[in-house]
Amino acid sequence: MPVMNLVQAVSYTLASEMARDEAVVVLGEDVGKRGGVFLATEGLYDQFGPDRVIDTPLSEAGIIGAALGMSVHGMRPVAEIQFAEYVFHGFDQLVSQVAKLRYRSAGQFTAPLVVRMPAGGGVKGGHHHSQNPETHFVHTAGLHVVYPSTPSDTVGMLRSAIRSNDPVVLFEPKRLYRAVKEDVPEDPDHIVPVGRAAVRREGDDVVLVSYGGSMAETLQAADALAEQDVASTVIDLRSLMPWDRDTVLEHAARVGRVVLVSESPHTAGFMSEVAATISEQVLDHLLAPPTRVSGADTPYPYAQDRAYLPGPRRILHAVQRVLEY
Amino acid sequence: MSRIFTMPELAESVVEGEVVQWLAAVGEVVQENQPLVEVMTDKVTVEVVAPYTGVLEAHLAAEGDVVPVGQPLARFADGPDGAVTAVEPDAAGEAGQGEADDGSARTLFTAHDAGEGEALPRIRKPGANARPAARETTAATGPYGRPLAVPAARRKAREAGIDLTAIQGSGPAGRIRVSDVEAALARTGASQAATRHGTTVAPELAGPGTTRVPLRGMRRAIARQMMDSHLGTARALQVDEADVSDLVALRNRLKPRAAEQGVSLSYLPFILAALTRSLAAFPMLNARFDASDESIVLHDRVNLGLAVATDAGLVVPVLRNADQLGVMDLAREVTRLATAARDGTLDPADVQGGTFSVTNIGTIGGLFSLPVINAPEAAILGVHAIKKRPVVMPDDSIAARHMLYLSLAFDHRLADGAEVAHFSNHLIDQLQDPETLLL
Amino acid sequence: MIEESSRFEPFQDEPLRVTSDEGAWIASFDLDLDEAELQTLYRELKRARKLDERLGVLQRSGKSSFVAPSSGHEGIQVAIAKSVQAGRDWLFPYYRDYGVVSALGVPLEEIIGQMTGTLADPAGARQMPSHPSSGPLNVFTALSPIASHVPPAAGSGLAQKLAGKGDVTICSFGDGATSEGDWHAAMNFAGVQGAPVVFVCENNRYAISVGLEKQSGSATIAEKARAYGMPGYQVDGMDVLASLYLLRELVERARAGFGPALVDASVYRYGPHSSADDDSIYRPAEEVAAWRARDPLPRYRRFLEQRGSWSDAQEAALDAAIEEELDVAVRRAEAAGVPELGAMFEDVYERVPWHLEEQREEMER
Repeated sequence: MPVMNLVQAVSYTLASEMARDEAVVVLGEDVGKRGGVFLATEGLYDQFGPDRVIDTPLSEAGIIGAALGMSVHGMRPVAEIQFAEYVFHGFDQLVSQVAKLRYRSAGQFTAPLVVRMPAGGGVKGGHHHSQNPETHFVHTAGLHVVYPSTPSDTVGMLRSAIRSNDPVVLFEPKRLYRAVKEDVPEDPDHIVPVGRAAVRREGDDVVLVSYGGSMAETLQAADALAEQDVASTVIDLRSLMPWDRDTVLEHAARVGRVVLVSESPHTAGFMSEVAATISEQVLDHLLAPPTRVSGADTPYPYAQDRAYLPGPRRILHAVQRVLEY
Repeated sequence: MSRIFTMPELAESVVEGEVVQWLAAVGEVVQENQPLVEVMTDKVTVEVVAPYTGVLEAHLAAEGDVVPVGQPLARFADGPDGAVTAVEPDAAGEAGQGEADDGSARTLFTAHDAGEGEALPRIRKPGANARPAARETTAATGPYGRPLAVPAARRKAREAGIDLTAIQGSGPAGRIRVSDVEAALARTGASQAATRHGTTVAPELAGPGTTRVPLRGMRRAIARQMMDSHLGTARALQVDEADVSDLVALRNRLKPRAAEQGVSLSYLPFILAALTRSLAAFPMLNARFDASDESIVLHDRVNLGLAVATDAGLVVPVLRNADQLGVMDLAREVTRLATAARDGTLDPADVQGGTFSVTNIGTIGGLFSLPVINAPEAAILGVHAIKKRPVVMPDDSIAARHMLYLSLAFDHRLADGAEVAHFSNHLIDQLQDPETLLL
Repeated sequence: MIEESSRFEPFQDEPLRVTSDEGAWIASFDLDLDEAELQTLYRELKRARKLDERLGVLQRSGKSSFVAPSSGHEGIQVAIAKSVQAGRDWLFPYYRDYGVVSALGVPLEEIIGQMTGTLADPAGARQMPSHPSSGPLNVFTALSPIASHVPPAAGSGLAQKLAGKGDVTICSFGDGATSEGDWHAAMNFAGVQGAPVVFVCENNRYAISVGLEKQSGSATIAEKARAYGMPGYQVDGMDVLASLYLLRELVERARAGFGPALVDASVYRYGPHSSADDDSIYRPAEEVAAWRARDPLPRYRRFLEQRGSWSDAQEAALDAAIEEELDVAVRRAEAAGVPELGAMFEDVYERVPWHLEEQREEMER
C-alpha cells in the first residue's frame, strides 16, 4: 500500500477519481500549475490538463457558483477554497444555491459537487487562516459535512464525497497535512461512508470524542491518561452531518463519562449538539455531565495560537472533572 | 555563550525542511538578516536568514538533511561585540507567554509528549485511585428539594425502589453516585433480612417455614395491572349509602316474570342501568387519562367492566354498550359474561374496551372497600351487600330499611371530589326511585 | 479575441429599436420572420400579460401569498424564450421571469401551481411564489438572494463549453443585481472562460424603490461589459422584435464559440415591485403613465395591424382562448392538491437521513 501524508492523500484521491470518471473536474485558485498552495492538487494539471484542472479567477462566489452550474450538467466538480475562512465570499452560493438546489427544485436539479477547504489552527495563521467554520454548514440543510483526520480516512471520505449525489463540504485539518504518514488503501473503490465514526481505541473510564485537527491532541491526551492508568475510548466523528449518533451513544452509555473536544468556538459548536443528544438519549446511564473542551468564543488569536487549541492539559482537566463528579 | 538556532516554520502546515545549501561558513561572522542557509520544504524553497548577529559556530545539519521544524539547525557563538544581538525567535517566545498548552506547543505532532514541558494534571480516578476516605458525606439536596445525584444513580435507585433522600452521597457537594446507591441497597437488604419487614427490595426469605410460589400467568398479570394502577393513578375514595328498599320490592315483584323469560334477575342489572345514566350525565368519569400527551379521552360508549372472581383469579369481562341496553338485557349479559368467565370461555373481545368498571363485593362480605381502579379508566364502583339497617326516617322514627353501601374509587386527576359527590347523588337518586330504571 | 456580432454593434449610445412607438418597422435591415412567427410573438406577449394579471387576482383572493408583477417586461421576456432552443439550451431566470417560462413552453398549470403552492408545481411547492423552474426545459429554479443565480449560470456555460456541443446558457436579472458581488464574479468568470452565456439585464430602473442613478455609477449597464472582455448592448426591451433579433444573434454567436455577451434591456414594470410593495411612494404617476404609453403590447399590435396581420376578431378570439387556458390551468393547479406534511423532509438529501426521519416522526406524532 502507498505511504503518504494527509495532503498527498487528497491529490492521490483526486487523481484516482479523475481517472475513473471524466465528469470529475477540479477548480479553484492556484489549483492548476501551482498544484494548490498546500499542493493538494499537485500533479493533476500535468496529468489531466487545463480543462479538468481549472485555475479560476480569485472569487469564491465564482468558484462555488460555477461548480454548481457545472454540476447541474452532470459534472462532478471538486472546488478548492484556499483557506476555510475565504469560503464566506462564497457563503451565499453554498448556503442558498448549492445546499437547497435539490430541495427547492424537488429533485429536478441536483448538485453533486464537493467543496474542499483546509481549516483549523496551530499554524500561526491568525484569525483568517486558522478557523473552523464547520458549524455554519452543519446548520445548513442540504449539505453533508465531513472532517477526516487521517490520510486513509481522507482517501475514503473524499472518494465518498465525490461519488455522493449530494453536495459535500470536506474540511481538511491543515496542521495535520504533513504531520503523519501512513499506508492508505490502494483499492480504487475504497470508501469511508459519510456518517460513520471511527473508534480509535477503547477503554472503560472515559470517552473522548473529537474530529479533525483536534484528534491529534485528543490522542495525546489519551496517551497521557493511559500512563496514569485511565483507560479511554477515543471516537473520531469524521462526519458531522450526518453524524454517527449510535456509536457515540453506545460508548457514552457504556462508560457514562464523556469529554467532547473540538477546536471550534465553544458556544453552539457541534459538540453542543453531541452533548445535548447524549443528555436526551442516555441520561440514565451518565455518571457525569457530558463536558466540552473547545476553542474560545473569540476571533482566532495570532500570538496565542497554540493556547487557543484544546490541548492535553485542558482535556485532562475535563477528564478529571468527569471522573470526580 | 552559544545559541541554538532551530528550523523555523516556513509555511503553514510545513513540518520539516531539507537543508539544500549552507550560505554561511562555520566561523564566519554573520550579520542579522544575512542569508544563512537554503531550505527546501514541500511547499517552498527559502533562503533562511540569520536571526541575529554572531559567529556561526557550527552547522548542526548537513546539506541534504531533513530537519523537523523546531529542531537545531545551527549554533551561534557570541558576536565580536561580545553579545548576540537579538532575541531568540523560537521556544523562548512561546514559553514566555505562559499560555502554551503543555508540551504540545513545541512537539504537537510527535506521538506523545506528556512527560515534557508543563506537567499535566494528575488524575484521581474513582475506585482505582481511592478517594480520600475522610471525606464527609452528607445527604445533599439542591435548592429545589431534590437530592443531588448523578443520572445513573437516580436510575438505579428508581429501579430498586430506593428513596434517594435516605442516601448519603459521597461525591462532590454530597452528590449521590451509583456506588452510594449500591451501598444503600446492600444495607437495606441486610436490615430487611434482620427485621423481616420493609418492602422496597425483595429480601431473600426462602428457608425453613416458607413456601415460594412463583408468580405466573394470570396471577402475574393481575399483580402487574394492580401495581400499574396503584402507581399510575391518583386514587381517591367516595363512600355512600343508598336506601334501596323500593328497589328490593321492585326486583322481588319482577323476579318471577323474569324467570319465565329464563332470566335470573339480581339487583346488579338495576344498578348498572342507573350507572350508565349517571355516567352519561358525568362524562368525566367515563373517560381515561392519557399521560403521554396529558389529555383526557372521553368515551362515547359505556362499556362496563365487571369484576368476576374465578378459581384462577380476578377476571374483568366487559359488558359492551351497556348504555344501549335495558334492565332485562343487562341481566342476560351479566349472566352470560359471569358464566363464561368462570368457565374460562370468554373471547378476547369480551375482556377489552372497558370504560368503567364495577366490582360486586357484597356477595361475600365487607362493609365497604377501596377498589383498585382498572387503569387507565377513571373510576371503579364497588357494590356491597344490601342489608337491612336501622335508619332514621324523616319523621324521626327509626325503621329497618334495605341499605346499600357504594364505594367509588376514582382517579383524582380526572375529577374532583365535588363532582364525584354529585355523580354519587345522581346514582343514589335513581336507585331510590327504581321505577324510572324501567323506562 | 472575441468577434463582434455581425448585424449589431456593441456599446452604442442609444438602445437598439427596430419598430417605432407607432409600430412602424425602422430597422436598416429587412424583416425576415414569417406571419405565423410574428403572430406567435403577439400571442406570447398577451399570454404573459394575462398570466401576470391572473397571478395578481390569485394573490388578492388569498390563493397565492405573493407575486412580483412582470407587466411591462413582456417584450424582452418573450424574446429570451424565443431566442433559445427549448430543452437544449439552459435558462437561469430571476423571480419576475414568468413571461420567459410561459413563452418557453412551461405549462401554465405548473406556473400557477408554483404560484399557489400546489403539487402542480414540478418543484413540489417548496418555494414561495414567483420562483418558477422546469427540469425538462432546463429552467434552473429561481432564487430570492439577488444575483446568486448568475455564478451558476457562468458555470453552466463553462460546462457547455467543455462539453463542446454548442449549447448555450441565457441568464436574466434585474438592474439591482448588477450591484452584487456575485454578479461581478460571474461576469468576470464567464469573460475569462469565454463561456457561452448571454446575460440579460431586464433594466426597469428600480430595485424596489432605489432608482438606477443610485444603483450604478456607470451611465449604462451595457458598458460594464467592457470590463469583463465581452460586448455590451443596449436594447429597447419593450420592442419585442429588437429584443428577439439581438438575442438570437448573441445566442448564435455564443453557440459558435465566441463567448458571452451582456444585454441591457430597457423596460419598465407597471406594477409595484411585489404584492407587498407600494410603488406610489417612490414613483410619480406621470412617470408610470409615460411608460404606459410605450406599452410593448399595443405597440406590437399596431405593428401587426399595419401589416394587415391582426384583426379585432383575432384579438377577441385570443383573449377568450387565453382566459379559458388560464381558467383550466387554475382549476388543474388547485385539483393537484397540496403536499403532505411529510414531504417537507424529502429532497433535502438523496436519501432521508436518520435525523430527518426522527424529526418527521416527532412532527407527525
